[in-house]
Amino acid sequence: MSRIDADAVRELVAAHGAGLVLYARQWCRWPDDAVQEAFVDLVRLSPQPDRPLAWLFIAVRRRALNLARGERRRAERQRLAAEAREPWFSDDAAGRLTTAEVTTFLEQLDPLDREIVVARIWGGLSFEEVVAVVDRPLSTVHRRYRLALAWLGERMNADDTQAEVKR
Amino acid sequence: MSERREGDDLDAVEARLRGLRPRGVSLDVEAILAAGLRPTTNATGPLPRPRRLALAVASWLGGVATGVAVTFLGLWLAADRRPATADVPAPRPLPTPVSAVATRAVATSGERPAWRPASSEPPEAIGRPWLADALAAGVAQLAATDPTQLRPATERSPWRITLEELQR
Repeated sequence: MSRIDADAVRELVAAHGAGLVLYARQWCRWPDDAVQEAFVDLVRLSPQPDRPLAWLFIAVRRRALNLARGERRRAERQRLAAEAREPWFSDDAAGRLTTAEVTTFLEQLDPLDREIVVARIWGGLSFEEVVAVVDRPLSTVHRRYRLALAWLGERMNADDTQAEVKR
Repeated sequence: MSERREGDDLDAVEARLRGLRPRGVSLDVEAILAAGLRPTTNATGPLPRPRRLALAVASWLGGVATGVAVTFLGLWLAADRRPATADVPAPRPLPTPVSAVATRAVATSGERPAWRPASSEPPEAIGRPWLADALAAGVAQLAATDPTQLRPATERSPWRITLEELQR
């Protein structure tokens, strides 16, 4: 099997670029860099992987963790500046949640749970692919995904109730 | 029923989260393709065969060299490097066993050593007065013993001797 062709790369960037950036955003300040480097690695790879999307998630994770290690070495001033983060999402289709709220909820999740939820919902990975990315048993991934969704649902419903009371 | 409702709730949460779009991404696909297709020195892929062979040989030689070095290091560490002391006398050589002397004598002279024949002389005559004393004490003790207290002859040890035998 040869290298991945240019059209396939373009399709992957268009369809999953945002999801991959969101995935990398969990670990580093410059998620675009991590995703770009992962795509460059994918283009260089010969033969191409069987499941390019799952491979990309694994590569993005590794790149993002490397970048995060580099970021941690920087000065305290830069760390504080990093905390004034951008929201992770652009909008809410249902119009009820603010992006900052969802970002906060996701940040409160256990790192592994957050990784599973992001890879599954915004990455569009199947459970089998998520298992390959996070390197945990399928039953564990499934159970943690359901628990994380239940926890997020509770938080979002509580938020909605508060918003209605204010109105 | 509650499981089904819980499943519906989770589906609703999932759908709601899916409705959120991650922030836009600004990836330059053409730059990625150009960077990916540019030849690099550390490009992934199998090494050519001669290099693989050279690596295997170098790896084997490295293993051998390490083994030799470790062996010599062990020998060097185990070596006795105490300074020789002048005060300590040299150990005496072990005495040669008598049997070895006799064997050597037979080997050199070709004659077997002559064993002394059994003597009819009393023990004190051949220079062993303690044996005569021991025999006399044993005889006296046996004579003083009540014969009825002695065990019957059938129970006697074959090594025990009677007074008569002793006096004989």
